[in-house]
Amino acid sequence: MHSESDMGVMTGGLAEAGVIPDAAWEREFEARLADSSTLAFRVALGVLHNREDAEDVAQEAFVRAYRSFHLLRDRERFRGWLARIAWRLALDRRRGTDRREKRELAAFDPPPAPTVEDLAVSRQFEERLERAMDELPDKLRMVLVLAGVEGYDTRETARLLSLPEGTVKSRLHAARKQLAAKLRGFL
Amino acid sequence: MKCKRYQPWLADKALGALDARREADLAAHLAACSGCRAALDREQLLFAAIHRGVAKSVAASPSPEMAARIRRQVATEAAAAEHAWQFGSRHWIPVAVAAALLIAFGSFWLIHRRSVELVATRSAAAKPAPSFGHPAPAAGTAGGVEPKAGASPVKQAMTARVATRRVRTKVARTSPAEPEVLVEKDEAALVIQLYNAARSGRMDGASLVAVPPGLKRDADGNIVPAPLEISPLEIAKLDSGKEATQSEDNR
Repeated sequence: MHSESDMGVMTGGLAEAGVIPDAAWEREFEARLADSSTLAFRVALGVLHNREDAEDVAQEAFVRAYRSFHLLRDRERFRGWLARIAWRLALDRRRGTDRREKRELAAFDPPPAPTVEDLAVSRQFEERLERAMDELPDKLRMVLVLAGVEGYDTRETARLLSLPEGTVKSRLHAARKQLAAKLRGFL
Repeated sequence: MKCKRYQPWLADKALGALDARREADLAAHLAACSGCRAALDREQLLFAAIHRGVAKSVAASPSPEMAARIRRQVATEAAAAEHAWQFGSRHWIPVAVAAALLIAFGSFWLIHRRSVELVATRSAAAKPAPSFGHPAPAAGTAGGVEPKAGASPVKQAMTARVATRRVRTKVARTSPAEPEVLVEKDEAALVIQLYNAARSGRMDGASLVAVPPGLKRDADGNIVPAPLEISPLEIAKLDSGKEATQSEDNR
């Protein structure tokens, strides 16, 4: 796992860093934006469970990544780097402001043709699941969220987090068992 | 009782993480226990719901406006950085020019000051120094310090300054001020008379030399050793018993 300093990003502007982005910088960053904006958004969403907040966090994560783009020598690791920035920002936002009451419960895509009862049950389950996810330790929750992102299997998650694949598997297993322990009475 | 043993395994079985030995053991039990089969179905249903719920919680996509907002903010930052860099460059140019001018003027002033001092020192050294029995050294050789031929102007100026300082020291030591002499109160008039006579040349300095003990003057006035006169040794006679008794008492 990367240390906090490795995850550190510039909080000041480019002017403070004395960095003048050139055309190649802009092109490369634009490619990263198209490639990784959804990832940053989904990581933030996995923490915040709120679309607007997740978009704000993803935007902030990208701007910070842009400021520190010149510091990341291995730009292939940009996605993992961005995911960690978004994760940290989302946790900070969640800890800073309690917006649970303002969540948009209807923000997610509705399931196909649900009945009223199914929808009610589904929403209750989702709320319980979100609460259970929020109570997970950060290490387990991040693995769970990244593994839940479409297209990210255990290997991809391990690569993003720079962790051994076995570690990701064991954390994912522990996270699911802890969630099951809290949701077992629901079914 | 057997079911309690297998219930903790059901979650691992549903997650596909049960080791091979327990897998076989549990399979044998499930074949004979409908309750545990139903519990396993519930576990599998629960984990499937969790998996779907987690995936669903992160399945949403950001709005297209998010990328546009990011581009706008990044463009603003880039423009601000470029503006700051340009302003910084313009701001530093006059500072750098001012610093260069200051250094140039400072260097010119120092060189000019050295040159003026060198000329003044040479002029002062060329004048004959006042002599009070010690002739002043020639210019450029005062005090035995002579600038080497071909030496740099700065070194010549420093040598001249050293020479000037030494000449001034000698002048101070040969000041014509009247000497101060401490004498006894009743001998002051005699000493002044003697001083005036010696200074006017009316008195020979040699005649002022006092004759030390053990010497004497001959007929020509020269000081010669006096003949040694030794008085005879006188030894007291020890024939008195009273004196002997006193000697013992003294001891």
